[in-house]
Amino acid sequence: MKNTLRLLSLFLLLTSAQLIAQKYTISGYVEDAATGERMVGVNVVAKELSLGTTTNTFGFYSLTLPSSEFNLEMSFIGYQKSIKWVNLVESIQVNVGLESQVEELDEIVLIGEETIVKQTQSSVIDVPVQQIKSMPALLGEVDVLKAIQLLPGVQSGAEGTSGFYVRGGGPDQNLILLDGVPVYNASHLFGFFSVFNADAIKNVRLTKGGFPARFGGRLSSVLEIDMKEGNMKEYKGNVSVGLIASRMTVEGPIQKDKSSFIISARRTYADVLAQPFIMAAGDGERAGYYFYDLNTKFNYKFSEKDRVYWSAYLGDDRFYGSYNDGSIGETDKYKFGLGWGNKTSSLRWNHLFSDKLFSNTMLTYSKYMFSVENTEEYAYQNEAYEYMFNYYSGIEDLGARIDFDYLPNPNHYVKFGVNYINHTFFPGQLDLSEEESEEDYYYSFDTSYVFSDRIYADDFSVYLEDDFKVGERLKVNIGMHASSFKVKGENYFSLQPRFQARYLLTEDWALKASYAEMQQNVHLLTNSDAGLPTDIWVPATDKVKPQYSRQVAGSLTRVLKEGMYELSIEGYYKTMSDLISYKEGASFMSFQDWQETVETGGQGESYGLELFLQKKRGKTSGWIGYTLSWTNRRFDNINFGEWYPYKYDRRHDMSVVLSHEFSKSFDVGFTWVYGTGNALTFPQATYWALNEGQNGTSTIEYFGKKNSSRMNAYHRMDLAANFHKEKKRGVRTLSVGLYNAYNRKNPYFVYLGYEQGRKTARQVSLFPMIPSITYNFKF
Amino acid sequence: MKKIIPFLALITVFHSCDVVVDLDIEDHTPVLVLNSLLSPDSIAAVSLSHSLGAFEQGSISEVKDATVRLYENDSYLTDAIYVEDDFSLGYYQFEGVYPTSGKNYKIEALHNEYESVFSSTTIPELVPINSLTIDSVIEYQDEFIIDYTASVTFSFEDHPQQENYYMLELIYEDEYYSYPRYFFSNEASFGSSMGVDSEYAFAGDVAIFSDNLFNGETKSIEFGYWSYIHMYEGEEVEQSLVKLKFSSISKDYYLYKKSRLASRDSDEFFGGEPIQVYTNIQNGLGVLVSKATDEYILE
Repeated sequence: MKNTLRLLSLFLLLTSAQLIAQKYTISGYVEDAATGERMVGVNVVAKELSLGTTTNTFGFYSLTLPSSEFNLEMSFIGYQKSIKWVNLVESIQVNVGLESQVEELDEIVLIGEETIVKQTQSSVIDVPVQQIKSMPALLGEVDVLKAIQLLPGVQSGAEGTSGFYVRGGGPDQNLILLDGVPVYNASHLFGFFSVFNADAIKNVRLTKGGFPARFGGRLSSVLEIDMKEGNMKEYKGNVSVGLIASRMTVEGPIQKDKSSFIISARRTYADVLAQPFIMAAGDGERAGYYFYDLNTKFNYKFSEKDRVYWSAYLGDDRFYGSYNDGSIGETDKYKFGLGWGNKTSSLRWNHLFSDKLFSNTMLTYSKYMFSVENTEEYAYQNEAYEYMFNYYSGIEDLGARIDFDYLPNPNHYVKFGVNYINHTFFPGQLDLSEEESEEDYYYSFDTSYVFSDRIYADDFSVYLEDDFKVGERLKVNIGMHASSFKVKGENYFSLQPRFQARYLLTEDWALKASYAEMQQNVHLLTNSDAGLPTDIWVPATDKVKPQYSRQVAGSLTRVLKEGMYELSIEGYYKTMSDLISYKEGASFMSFQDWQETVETGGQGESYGLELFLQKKRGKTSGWIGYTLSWTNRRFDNINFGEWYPYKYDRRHDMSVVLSHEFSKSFDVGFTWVYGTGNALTFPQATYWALNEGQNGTSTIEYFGKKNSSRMNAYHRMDLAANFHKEKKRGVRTLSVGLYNAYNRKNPYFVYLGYEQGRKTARQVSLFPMIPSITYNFKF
Repeated sequence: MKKIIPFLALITVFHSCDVVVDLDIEDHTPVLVLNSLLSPDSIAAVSLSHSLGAFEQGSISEVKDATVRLYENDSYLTDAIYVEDDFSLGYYQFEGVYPTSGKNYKIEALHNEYESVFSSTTIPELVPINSLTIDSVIEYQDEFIIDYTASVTFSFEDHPQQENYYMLELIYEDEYYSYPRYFFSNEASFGSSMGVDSEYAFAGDVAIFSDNLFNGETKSIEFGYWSYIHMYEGEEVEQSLVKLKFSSISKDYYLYKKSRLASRDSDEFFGGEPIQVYTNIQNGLGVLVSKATDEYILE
């Protein structure tokens, strides 16, 4: 507590010292002149004073400067610089619309905020949506999370799935925020696709460490996905037809320059196409699978000081089958259904209290549900049989938060806020009933297994951080995140200090360091690789503590060729405590209270080195990422209390992602990935068990230490070519892709099998070389 | 079959190939497997066999021609003699040696084709049952059978200065057979194996537990079981009995039994991972463990 008070005193001293001098504030919003979309991360610099800032998530900036005359320059890669002569004799508001840079339109334009050398924050990567769209994709379905998997420090899970593991953390340790709302299960089709429709997305930013104080609630990463706001100037649209799904997006002004909307929808149609064949082949049989998602956003500018956004996401997966083939006088029906989905919504109000104080107030809602149901019915003469199975689980959040950006002077950028979430967990209930009758026999069974009663939890947090300069070379971000989690009579309170520093060695070189402590109040019960819907979210309770991590990271960053290339080498060490895991051998299909099926008090450690070289501009863009890492776990009752490699302990992980634009009408994408095989526990030998009085002998399989074996290495090359053509009413793009171009048989899982009577290790691979084609029309 | 059509459809779409692969697994060199459970009420004995690599052909067999040595508190005691036994293969007996509680026994096996193996165990002190009560309730009765539920409560003194491990078994014995009998309990030390809506948290034929929750206390344990008596013309037909076996067991035995039971019950179908069974044999596999058992005939 003493340290906190010292930090606050220092902060107030530095802030108040700046307030004494006579200064004025220039503030405003920066937006895309063509669409009216607010721009994030635009550099705003008072040239003659060499002082500047960047726009926040809502395009807002504020600079408090001495009374003087100067050129106010706003720049963003891919846009023309805006330079305005300002005579600052009073506080003023300057809103700017940046024009696209016509001469660079032929180039692939990436995101353009301040270079990594200038940023205080380390361990953060912006992934350009345009780059994601030009990358090769499985079955042509562009996927944000699969692009995230290609970044250093991020590992993919099982082949083809969209789950990701950051710096040795579990899949539950990633906070995925869609317009600020947590998304609990980001998977479609058993994890093969993510729920995010790239057509509706504006920004994607991943933070792997050095978390600023405004973030909390997860140990390993924060993935921020911001939806587009909708074009304020004119109606635009996009239609895309792929092999498994089609998408459509429409956006435009409701009232020009005042309010706008965007609606984007996607649905698979394998079920629709296959249904006639299934029905023709069977006798009254139906089976199919589909997913859909819908993103929508509306916004309204009440004034220059007030703007309201409402956004929503709705997505579902549904897998079903049934038959009805009773003959005359006979009933024989069967029905099976498996479904899961997310619903999220946020209402945001941007308000400018003053030209130095910006606020964003949010009301949020998020719900994830999973259910599986199965019914059978049979009747013939005096015989009747009915069976019903229904399992469901989920989580529902209602939240409110307010965040403030306070910019007292160019040397300080203060953020503070309050966040409250009311969680309702329903970890699982199984309803079973059975009724059987014959002429002289009757049996019935009807029960519910509740794995846990509904659990309600109050999650409250406050934070304060300041990003400030100490001299010309040193920039520091210090903050504190305080969290209180009330559940089942327990209150888990924590103070989580955050620290980041950047020291400029030269204009092109910087050294960075960070330290962050994080507490996570929710756990995910999982033993799948894929982010399956059977993964169950549960809270910390009186029996199961919240997870906690401490991470230290240091990096050396450099920009090359006037910002065309960015290079970073980063090392990290992370410890985790109070992790949970299913008890050895347990799974979600347990009839016990979930708290009885988990091991608690687990420890984790992860360390490694990441190399990232990114080319952000020019006809060729992309990155090369390499990670050397170790990650281990320890539980008292797993592996006899000894440390063991985490399943996704991956010694080497490499990705090469390139896009090249040959001409305005033709560009190509290339991806190559390599990863050490996943750790697994595999039989090494068999031997006789101790005879405790039984007759004969029984055998035991010897697995060695937990996760002591390895699957084969994973590597894959994907190719894509995009053909663009100007049409009368828009631009047509035909995308041709080849997934797994050299037909590598990558491991999905391995098992001990038999080949010509001999015991062998067998491997199942999912995806061979798969071509794809997608038609896209932008109007 | 129709029930799994949807699953098969999905698997067919994605299950593109199944190939034989070489995994990064060290070749397994066969090792000696030594198994022994020492107890003061039986002659010390071991079973010797060898392991078989996961990809090796052939089968596991007993090892008959090894030298097996027994040490008591680090002093050499005797060598074992191989004994032909139809029910326990590779069986070696230390003639006339009944292990003593509180003493440490080391067993070493030497063979010219395998690396020598060894391990040791300290025989736990017998923890006697202090008191025991049984209440029976007849659930059903006719001229041929009496079904009843028995409720048993017994107590014992846990040693305060050490970690202790226990095993509770219920054995049904008649003229011809002897087999474990299921019992049920809400004893917290047993853990939970039943559904949350069940009347009892635990049900099984053996309970393995530690003194974590009652170290140094007089511990009372309650459990119940269901049984029956066959009747004919008012007389009991079979001479049968239910025996309670309460053992103080070595930590190694506790770890072995826990992991063996968990391995047996592992739900691999739904993603539960395989479980390594505990072994304490140096340079080899198997276990050398010990127990001291108090018995009580319940009926």
